[in-house]
Amino acid sequence: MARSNKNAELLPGTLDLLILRALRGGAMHGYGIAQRLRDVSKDVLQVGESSLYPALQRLLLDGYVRAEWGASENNRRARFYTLTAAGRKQLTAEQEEFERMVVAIQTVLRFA
Amino acid sequence: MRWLRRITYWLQFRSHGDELREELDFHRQALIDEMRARGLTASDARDAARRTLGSETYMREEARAIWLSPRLESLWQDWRYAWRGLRRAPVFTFVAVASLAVGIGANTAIFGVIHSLLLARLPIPAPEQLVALRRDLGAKGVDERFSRDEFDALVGAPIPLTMFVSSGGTLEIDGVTTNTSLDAVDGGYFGLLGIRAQRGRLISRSDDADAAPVAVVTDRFWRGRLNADSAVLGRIITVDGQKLSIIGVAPAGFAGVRFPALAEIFVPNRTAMVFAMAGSNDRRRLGVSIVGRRPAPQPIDRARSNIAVLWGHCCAAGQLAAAARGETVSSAGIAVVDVSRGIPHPKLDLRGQYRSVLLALMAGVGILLLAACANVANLLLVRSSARAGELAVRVALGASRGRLVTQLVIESVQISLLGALLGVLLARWGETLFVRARIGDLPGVLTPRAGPAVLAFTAIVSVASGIIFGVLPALRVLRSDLITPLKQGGRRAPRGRRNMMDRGLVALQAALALLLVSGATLFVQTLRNLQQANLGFDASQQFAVTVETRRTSYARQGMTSQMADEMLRRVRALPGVRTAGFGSRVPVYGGRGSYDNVTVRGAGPTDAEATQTWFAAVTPGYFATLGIPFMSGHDIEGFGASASATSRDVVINDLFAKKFFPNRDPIGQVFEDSDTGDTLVTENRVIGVVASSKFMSPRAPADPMYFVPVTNDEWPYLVLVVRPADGALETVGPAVARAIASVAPGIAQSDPALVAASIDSALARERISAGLAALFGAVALSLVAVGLYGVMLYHVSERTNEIGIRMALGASSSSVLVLVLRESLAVVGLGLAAGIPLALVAGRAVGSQLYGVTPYGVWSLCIAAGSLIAVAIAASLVPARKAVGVDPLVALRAE
Repeated sequence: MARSNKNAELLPGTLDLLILRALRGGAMHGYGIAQRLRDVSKDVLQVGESSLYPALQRLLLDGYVRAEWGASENNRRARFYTLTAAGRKQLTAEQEEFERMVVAIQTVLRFA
Repeated sequence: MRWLRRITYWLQFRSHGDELREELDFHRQALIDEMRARGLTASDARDAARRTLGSETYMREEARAIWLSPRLESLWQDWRYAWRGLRRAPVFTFVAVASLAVGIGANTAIFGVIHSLLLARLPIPAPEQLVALRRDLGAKGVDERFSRDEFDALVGAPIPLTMFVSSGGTLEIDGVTTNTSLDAVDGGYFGLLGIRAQRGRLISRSDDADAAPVAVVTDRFWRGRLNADSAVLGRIITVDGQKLSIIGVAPAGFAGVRFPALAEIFVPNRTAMVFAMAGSNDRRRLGVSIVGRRPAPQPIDRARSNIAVLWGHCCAAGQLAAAARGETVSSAGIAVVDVSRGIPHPKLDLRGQYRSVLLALMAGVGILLLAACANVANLLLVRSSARAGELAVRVALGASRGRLVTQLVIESVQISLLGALLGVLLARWGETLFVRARIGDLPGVLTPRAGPAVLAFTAIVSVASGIIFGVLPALRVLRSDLITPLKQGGRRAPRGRRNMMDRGLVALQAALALLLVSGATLFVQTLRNLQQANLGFDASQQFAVTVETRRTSYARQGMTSQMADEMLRRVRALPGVRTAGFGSRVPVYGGRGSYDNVTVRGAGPTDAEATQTWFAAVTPGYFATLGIPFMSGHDIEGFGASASATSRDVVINDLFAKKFFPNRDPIGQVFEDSDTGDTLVTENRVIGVVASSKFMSPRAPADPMYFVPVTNDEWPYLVLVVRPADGALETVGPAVARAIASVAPGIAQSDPALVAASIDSALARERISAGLAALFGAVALSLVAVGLYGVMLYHVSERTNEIGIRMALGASSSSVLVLVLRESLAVVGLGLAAGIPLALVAGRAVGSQLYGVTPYGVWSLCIAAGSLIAVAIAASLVPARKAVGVDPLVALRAE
């Protein structure tokens, strides 16, 4: 069961959050999501495709995203993912949780 | 919602695989484009893209794992694991599945018969709404017969009502005359039942109103008598002399609302009235059955009270036939009863006849299934003990006990599913046997089909048995110490409790087998006693033909003595005929049962009940043909003068002699007989005494009877009995039929039937129960054999070491043999001790179905116990010989 993502540089459990965040701007296909995460993080976050697609399947199962077929920028058939209402809610919750965690970790790093 | 998405995902499993592939293709192409843009060569770009993307198979597996819930995933693994395990042990699997299949198959077959005979509802829409009216006669019970007047008076009843009249009739198709059963139905009959014709149309209100000469036939009639003629519509049949045109074929399975449903032809009520078919055109005559439909939510009591009010009005208005006849109907209330399973046939109470036998058989197959479950449980225990080492290793490697139990349960479920599958096939085969045994000689009554009810029953039974036999091995895993065997280095479970358990199971099997075998001996003895019962006549070869004048041109005169005399003369002259005679009634075969009140002046019983005595009218040759021996005196000579003659010579049977002329020579004595309420008293002079014969059935005792000469204008039909010469049976039958027809052209006659065959069919129920009980007993015994064999083999291999030591110390092979046999006999002995009280209770329960055997018979218990012990010895011989063959040196080295 290789559910955990393989990318050691990514904090465990954050991939779902990052995908949801990336989708907030609108529908994207898998390749687009990978590009976006790489570009925005200035190549710091390398999302392995081998964990991207299982993560997307998980989000589909949880009902946080919806998938539809459409045409890509260069007019090829691609599968686009959109945030659902539940996904939007989940994104907010996870984001808050993550920020709390980061603040806590930073506090510990600074004062412990 | 997650589960809903899971389900929809799996429903479109295939397309999801394609989607993922296409999605990844797109991604790969995009990566290649990106690499090319960075200046890589085409092949380098492709390789790089493949590296980045990783294995597609892996991704598909990942996706599958995500959509499959973790629990399902592990169940699926266990399922495949258990399946592999079963396939690795083919002998175990075969024995377990086969014993279950027999158990489940037998249950399915018997339940199928019970369902179609006792439980099945009428094949109409919403049968549970169907009700029938009954005349409530208070202490005298109920009567289902009404008159046409009464039905008409109930017009405007609060629930829709309709009526039918069932009767026999003669049928002529293409010049051949036979008997048939017809229902004359009201115009609203088919509408109320809510059924549609499979061909043509059914009888409508206008058919009834116009008394149209039309008929609807049943599917069975259409297939059986009209050869499924596709041009059936418009075909002409003659019923009771009236030409009718067929307008439709009723749907398959529907033959009226009686049970058993035997109607063949439906005609409009008014048609039957106008042409005086179906009995009578008397509007006041009783014989009408009234059925209705209550609205779905209406309780039967409300339907009753609503109709009762109307019924009260009818009575008050004096519209009723019964009232017209001066009967006191004011006190007769009305009852409404549920007839969703059909109105019981007045002359053929199949349900009453077979209910107790079927319930006994159901109990028998239940016990059989229990024994089969015990057998499988036992095999599983032996198997799991043999696998103790494997289980211990798995626990040591971190498998939870829950997982192990799940696995064992899955194995049980697989066995029971396989057993059920095979069992249903067995049941179908068994049911055809049952149908071929022809309950009550009624083709088409019994149609056990694997309908939803039967399949549901099988499913429940197999799951329940899976739980029953799976629970013991699973409990063992939960309770026992799994690790010890690992520590000991041995590969087996510790002895002790396990032995208790599997011996207990074999003992249980033995007890159940004892129950079934002793039950089987009771039923088989019953059948043998009945077959060998002294019937008081010799039913070896003679056959009987019923010669019928009703509904023929001879109806008015009946069977005259001239006709009978001439027929006898011509039949006796036929080559191959030894003797022949007419009688109004023939033992077991049938005829008309008549009785009168017998009084002997100044002697004998006098109260009304005791003086009612059966009699039959006979011609010379009747006794000789049936092989009824004369004890004294001689046969009747010739025919009687007339029905109103005041004196005649008669023959009595010896029970009559003992009852009315005790301690006297009956020859020459005189008695009087008279019909109840009849002023005609006849003086009878006894000229002969014959042995008493059983007229009803082999089971019922013979009654006192007397035999009077056949007279003119009294008998609508007579039965001709003929004893052919040896080997002339086939040729004589048709010749006799031609002889009868030559005397009275157009008279109705039945096909020649062997009297012995009527005895056989009177014993159909006993034959079925004896045959099945014997089969169940044999199966139970073989289950015990399998169980004992498995357990003993296991014990011997477990005690190889001990046996080796004994033999090394000088024990003889016979003492080792005794050691093994003693163990298996001890187990069987335990089973016998438990089974004997059970068998006695069971014998008591079936006591009413037995004949000439006591339910507590020592004999049947001895047979059962003896056969069990024989089976025990046989089943332990192979393990015992294996024990004897143990080489001490090898055995000691083995551990």
